[in-house]
Amino acid sequence: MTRLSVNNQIYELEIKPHQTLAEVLRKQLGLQGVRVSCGEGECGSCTVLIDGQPATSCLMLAMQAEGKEITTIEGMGTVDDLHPIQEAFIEEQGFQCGFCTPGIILSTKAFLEKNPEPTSAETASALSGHVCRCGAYVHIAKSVQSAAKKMKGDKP
Amino acid sequence: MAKSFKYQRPTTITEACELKTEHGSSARFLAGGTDLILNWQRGTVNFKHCIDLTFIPDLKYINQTETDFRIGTLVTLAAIEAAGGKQNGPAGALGNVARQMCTPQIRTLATIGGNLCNASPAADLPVLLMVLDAQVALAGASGERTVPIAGFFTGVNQTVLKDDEMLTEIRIPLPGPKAACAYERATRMVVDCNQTNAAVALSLDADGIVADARISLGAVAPVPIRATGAEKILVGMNVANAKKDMIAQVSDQAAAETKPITDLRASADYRKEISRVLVKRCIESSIVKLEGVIS
Repeated sequence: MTRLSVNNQIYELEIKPHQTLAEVLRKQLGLQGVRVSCGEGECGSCTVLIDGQPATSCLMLAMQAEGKEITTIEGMGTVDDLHPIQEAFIEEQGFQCGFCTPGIILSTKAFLEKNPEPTSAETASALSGHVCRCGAYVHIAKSVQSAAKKMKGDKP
Repeated sequence: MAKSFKYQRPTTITEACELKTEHGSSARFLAGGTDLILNWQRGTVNFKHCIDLTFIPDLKYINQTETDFRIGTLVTLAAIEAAGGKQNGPAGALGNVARQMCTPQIRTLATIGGNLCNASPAADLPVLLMVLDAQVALAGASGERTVPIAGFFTGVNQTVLKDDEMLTEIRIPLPGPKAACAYERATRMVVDCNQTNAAVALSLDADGIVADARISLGAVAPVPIRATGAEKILVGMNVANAKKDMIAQVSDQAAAETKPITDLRASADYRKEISRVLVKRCIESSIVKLEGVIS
């Protein structure tokens, strides 16, 4: 049995050695906010936080995540109690179809914790590993700026 | 039954080498997995035993001694980026290159050792390590050995590592007080594989004359190369009045020493031309850094 800590809950799971973290999170834990698009680490959809740092869960073996704290979008906020980053993305319309959004929000969380007052160039660099096929990039960048202000307690 | 592999998780280097000795070429060491797992999924790499090194604490460190800078094989690109900061010397040079590689999400997982052992001809770090005169330490059943980075790569995705060996450490000699290096690459965007990349390191004697020069290029041969003919022209140059035509001559010579191929990323002609441009930029930016050191 492998013990995984996901969104502050411990799970004891039967995991096959070749299974990726993305596959286990989606299929065994039903955390479908973890999106898999390219499956090759290029698009960023499958981004989760490993000990607070963004990582492509489609290339990481689930076994390798044992002993680490995994955060998915399900661990961020709820419909009734949104995380400030989620609020900002809704208010600034930082998405269209929403497929890439969970990964982007998780990367944003790690990024703003390191850099609470980012420039737009720093934001672009931090999110450079995410592809949005709707092309909502301008609104995503605005959402990150707005989230930064919310998290500092300023009015956006 | 779907294809899979056996997974083993040693916690010491000795234990890892013993497992590798036992299973030989049917086993692969796993570090960040961002190349290995992808290639396994694609079916281009096959193995029966996966020996996960990421639970070995002794392989994750960055140390500076009086003579060299040492990095454990499992240090992630994100950690190298963070250790770089605004520092000069090897830490800063490595951090600058790591920051440009792949994406933040992959840098969290990918390791320096994995990057070297994957031995891509277009990899970023080997070209820099070549001009920094790095050595790599290899541990195996019969003990340890060190090899210069230039001798580590033997072909596309091929290295000198034997079946029972693992790369444990990267050692970079500390440069003298009057030294600088630069790295440049040609690629379309983030995530993309390099079309060509280059690095230059210069160190000066007390009079400001180039005493040692190293030029390295990637993605222009099956392994990263040194442009030794071009290096010879640089030695003896006074950087305080470096002439443009001399830098052009060095860059032309470096390009002449490349043996690129045409593939989907770039044509051989383009790679030759961009080699010249990248080497020129690296020399110019090293000279700018050296002017700061001299004055």
